[in-house]
Amino acid sequence: MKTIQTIEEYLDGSLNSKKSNAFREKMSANKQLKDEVELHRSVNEAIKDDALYEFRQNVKKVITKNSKRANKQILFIKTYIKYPVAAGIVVILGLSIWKLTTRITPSEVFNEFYKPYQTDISTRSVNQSANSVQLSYILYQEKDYEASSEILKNYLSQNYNDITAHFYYGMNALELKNYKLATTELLLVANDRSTPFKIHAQWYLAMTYLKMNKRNDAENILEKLTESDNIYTNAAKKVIRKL
Amino acid sequence: MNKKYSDQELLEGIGRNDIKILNHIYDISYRPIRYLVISNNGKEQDAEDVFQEALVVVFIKIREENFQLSSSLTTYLYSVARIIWIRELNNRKVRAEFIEGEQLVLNTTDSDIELLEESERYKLYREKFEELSEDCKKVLKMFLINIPIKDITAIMGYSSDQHTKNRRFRCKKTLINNIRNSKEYKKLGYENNSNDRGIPRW
Repeated sequence: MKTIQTIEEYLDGSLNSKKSNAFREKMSANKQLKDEVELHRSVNEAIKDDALYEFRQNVKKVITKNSKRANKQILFIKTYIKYPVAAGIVVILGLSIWKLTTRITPSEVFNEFYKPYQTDISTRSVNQSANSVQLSYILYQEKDYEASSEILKNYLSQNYNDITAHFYYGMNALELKNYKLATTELLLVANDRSTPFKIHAQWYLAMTYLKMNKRNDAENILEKLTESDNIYTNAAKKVIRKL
Repeated sequence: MNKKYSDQELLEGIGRNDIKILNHIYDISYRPIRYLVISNNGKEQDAEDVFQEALVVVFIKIREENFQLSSSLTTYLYSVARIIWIRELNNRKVRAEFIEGEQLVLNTTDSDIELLEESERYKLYREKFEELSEDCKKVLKMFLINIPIKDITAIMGYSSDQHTKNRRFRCKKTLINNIRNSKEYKKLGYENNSNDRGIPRW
């Protein structure tokens, strides 16, 4: 107890100068004591720091609130969606029959065949820019297209030759319904011979044209995709049949 | 539609502990951090803890220095979260896919790591403080904000100033012991200190 008393009195300045100096000398000769004093000082700082404590509490509240909201949504879906789903199936069946008897528009073909690109994200990176562009790919995967697009816009202003970044920038533009920008970016990638994204860019460019109701442009690219053996060959054939 | 804030507005909001801004930051920054943690051996609770600690680092930085972002806040938080999660995985002796061959520090500086360590220590100290009895908390707090001992004795209804003093030191001893005996304290890297087995004698 005596030790704690001396440490606390040293820290709050209530030791007289003679005792305080003697204590300082002991500390400089005894690392264990010095560490102990440091622990007490640090604990006192933490106790005094109400602002940091309140900040933590507030962040905790925000997380709990949002996490409860997410759980409620899941519960709602599980509890209340059963019966509407049954009704929905009946409606979809009816619509499907109606669709089979009606000429399909390019935009409808888009809706049937379009799926966001399934990215194979590697979180490995080597520098700050790479870290930032990796984050944009994750944001795309997480469907936060606006944030992803913003990061890529900044990144591409300094790294214009990064074809992969152009691909994702185009894909974000497609999701954000900026079809003109999507066309520009995906065309750039589709015309690059060396990128592994070439085929993907062609497929999504065709999708963009469908969305823009440019049936012929879409068909031209889809025809090209059917000429080689790639992951879109069958889908491209199906789309052409639909059109 | 959510209001869009500039990074500067977000930093100011963090600095003044604005819950509306904190909610907005959760909306824009939690998902990538969650993805990072969950795709590297973590659970939802881990992701929430990492998000909280990353925000705390930003809060301390804003308070202690003239903090300027060199990237967007979301990117910065992600980088800090990444360091936090790597440290946690190291503690758990788990090697994550994304650690191998990679610089551990991206977008972050040595001072960020120091702040992170400080933040972890403060969190533990404060949690243990909050676990003390109400009387202990009051007494220690009043001493730390320099309330005269006579007033503390009167407020607490103790028989004498000496009793108040003794109470203060007993409470502090309990607090320090509780800190030392916690597994979090060992996680902070103090477990290998062979001298660190109690109050030093000299």
